[in-house]
Amino acid sequence: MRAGLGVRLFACLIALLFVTPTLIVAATSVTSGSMVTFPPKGFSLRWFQEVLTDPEWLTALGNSAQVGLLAAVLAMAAGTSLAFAAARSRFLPPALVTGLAVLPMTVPLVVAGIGFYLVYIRVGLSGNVLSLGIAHAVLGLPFVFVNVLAALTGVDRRVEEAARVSGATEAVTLLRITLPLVAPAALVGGVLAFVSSWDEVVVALFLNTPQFRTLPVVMWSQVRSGVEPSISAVATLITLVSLLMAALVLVGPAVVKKVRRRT
Amino acid sequence: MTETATQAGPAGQEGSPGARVELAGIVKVYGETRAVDDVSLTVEPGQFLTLLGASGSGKTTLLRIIAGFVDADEGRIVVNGRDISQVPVHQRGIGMVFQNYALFPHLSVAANVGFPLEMRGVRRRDRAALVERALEAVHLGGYGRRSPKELSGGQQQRVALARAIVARPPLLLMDEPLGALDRRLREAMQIEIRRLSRELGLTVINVTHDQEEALTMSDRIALLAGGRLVQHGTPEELYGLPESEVAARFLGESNLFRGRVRREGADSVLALPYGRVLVPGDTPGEREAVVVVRPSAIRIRPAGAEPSASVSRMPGVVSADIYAGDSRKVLVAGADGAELVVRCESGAPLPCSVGDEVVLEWDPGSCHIIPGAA
Repeated sequence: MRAGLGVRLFACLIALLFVTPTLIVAATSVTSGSMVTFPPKGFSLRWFQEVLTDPEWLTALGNSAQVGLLAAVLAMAAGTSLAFAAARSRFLPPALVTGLAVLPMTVPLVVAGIGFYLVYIRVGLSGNVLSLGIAHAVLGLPFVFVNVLAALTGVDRRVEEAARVSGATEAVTLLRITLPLVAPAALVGGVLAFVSSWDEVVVALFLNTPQFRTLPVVMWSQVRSGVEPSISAVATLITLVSLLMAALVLVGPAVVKKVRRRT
Repeated sequence: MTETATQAGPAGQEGSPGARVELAGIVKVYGETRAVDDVSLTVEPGQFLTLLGASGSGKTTLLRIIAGFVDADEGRIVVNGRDISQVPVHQRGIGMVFQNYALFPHLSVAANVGFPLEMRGVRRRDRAALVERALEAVHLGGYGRRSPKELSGGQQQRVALARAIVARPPLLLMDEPLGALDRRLREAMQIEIRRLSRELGLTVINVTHDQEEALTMSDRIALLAGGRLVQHGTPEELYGLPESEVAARFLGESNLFRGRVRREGADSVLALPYGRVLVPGDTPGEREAVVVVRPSAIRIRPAGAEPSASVSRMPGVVSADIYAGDSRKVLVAGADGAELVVRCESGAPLPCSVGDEVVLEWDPGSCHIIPGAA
């Protein structure tokens, strides 16, 4: 069924409402003045230049990227394993596994932040990529879990049986048949986990040290001492990366399919 | 085509005969139900056996037990003299075709067909030729680079067949392989599969609920009902000489008359309140029996017609006349209300129309008695 003109106009209006703040922030980042103003005064990329040459911002950018990647990889590994446990385990009740796996979505970030903070003090792990990466992996895990579980329930068991009867052990069947079939879903989950880590500020605040801060944390502390157009520039950069990731999720699977067909 | 198919096996196994398969006392219990209940049968090398039955008859469970996906609670599976009951699936060396094709969707056609070879450790360079030959054997030569998703249902099933035979397994299992195909394609594939299995000398165990498919394709049919083996024999035996009511009802249309057979003068007769059914052969004394009369053996005559000598006669009223192309199916309500089925050639004019009183006649020799059944 095609939506009517009225419905489409309404949808556009809502979408505009959502993106307007982002657009305004992006607009303020290209100002040539030294204050955050809207509309911007003139046009220049000086604030981008300033951000991309400032060691503090660059370090934070590097930290964020590393934490995000680590979180995505860990979330993919753990989320995929849990999805298999939920879908295939003969011993664990699926409801229990699913409940545990999506729990990070429901726990308030403040609570999670305090929790990680206390645990890390105990074990002496703090202020590095690993500590925050693990925390963000936990937060990103549900994205991978839900995606892979859906893909896994769509995998025909007879396809796996066909592999088994063809001479493949269970391990080989998993590696050659099942995992490749759910890999695109795991990858999408991983990208979502990266994005959620990329702009996560609450847990990152609890776990930051003066030596180890991610982009959102640095932005937070800068905003508290006054808003400069450099903040707008960073915000715009962060948004662009997230948009890029979203595009990857939307377009990625189709590209993968095309490439596969060619090989 | 014949040449390519017979060359499809690894060197040294040319014309390798199929396996001899013995099932001995197979039992599988799910909760309260005995899904497979003490089934024993033997499949000779190169034989095409069909496990035939309605859904819930245990045929699929039995096939899955042979494949190794399901462990039997009791009994043994012996292939070429070796008990494989405890051998894991991947070491049984069986080929299998699934109803929904079960191709690997992320692999090319060639990779699908080559998979069993790869698992058996055949080197890459040797695989390509074997894969191409197997594809040619199912008339899909040159399709190797395609994705299974680009193929039609019939083509996908051919790929599945190529994958099942590429490693020349001594035993090929088929789980309703043609169920998802339309009628025309199904019939073409029946012939195709039969030709291939003969050429390769494969022993085949095929599962179906389609009696026509079973009759057309099989050397032997094992009819299952409620987990038990009802009858095991050639298609001719199962159709012509059913040993039980279940068999008579399942294979083809049939008219069943139940009663006591006794001697009347020179004839053996199944006496019914509304007619006489002559029974071939001598009957010492009285006995319970069920008489099976196939619809094509019955002739329809107008009610007042001169009775023919020594035939079975049964009055009735025509209740339906169904045209079916090469034949017509006439339903006649018997005197006891039971409906009898008659098959006539559609070319000849019918001597009656719906609502007419008629007499059904058939030769005693054309009916079959199931003894002891009551």
